[in-house]
Amino acid sequence: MSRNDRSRDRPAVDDLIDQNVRLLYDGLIAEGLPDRFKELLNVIRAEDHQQGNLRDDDA
Amino acid sequence: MMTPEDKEEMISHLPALRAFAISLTRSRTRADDAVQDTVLRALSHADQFERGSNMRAWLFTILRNAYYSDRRRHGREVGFVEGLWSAQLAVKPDHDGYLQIRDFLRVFERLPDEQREVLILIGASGFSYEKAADVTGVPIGTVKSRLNRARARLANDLDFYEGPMEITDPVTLAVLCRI
Repeated sequence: MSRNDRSRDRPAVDDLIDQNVRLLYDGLIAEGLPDRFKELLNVIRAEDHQQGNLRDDDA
Repeated sequence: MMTPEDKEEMISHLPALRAFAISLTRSRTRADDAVQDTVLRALSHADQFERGSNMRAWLFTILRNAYYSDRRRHGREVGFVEGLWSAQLAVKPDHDGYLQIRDFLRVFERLPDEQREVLILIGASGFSYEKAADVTGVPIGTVKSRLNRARARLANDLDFYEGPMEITDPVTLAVLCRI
């Protein structure tokens, strides 16, 4: 295959590469979050809950 | 200060932020540390977030700035073991999909950080060139140049020009990427 042939294929090859990158990325997203984050998020949400209760008390 | 709604939005972006972090650090352990650090930074600098702007881009920017700052302090390859990420693809070695995606990942993880990140931001996350330039702090022309170099290297190293490589279907990939 000549260099000219290769350059004509470039958009299709770019698209193929992006599809593979998306598959990798989507696979990583699908893993979700490990347990250590669930604990952290619970703390963050509990903070809001506490602040909400304080606001209710002030009112 | 972040409202409960802001926090919920931030939480909804964390799986994508973690995926970005893994692709940048090539290590789940380092990525999880980076994401946790980013959450804490975001909470403590919530006043810097402009409500109505792109929170995902803001979180990605915090994470990648911290990553590059750490890289400058400790050296480029700190914590990176070549082949570790691709080796974490857990499936029978004779599986066609495994070989395809593992080969892709092997080349992908050897790309320079700056090229890998633009591929993820634009090719996978759907960021515009402008938004990717904002996140990475470089001109749009530099983003395009890095993207072109990354694609060219992947295409050459994987011989994509010589014949189409079948991509692994999403269901197979979900199995492949579990560790």
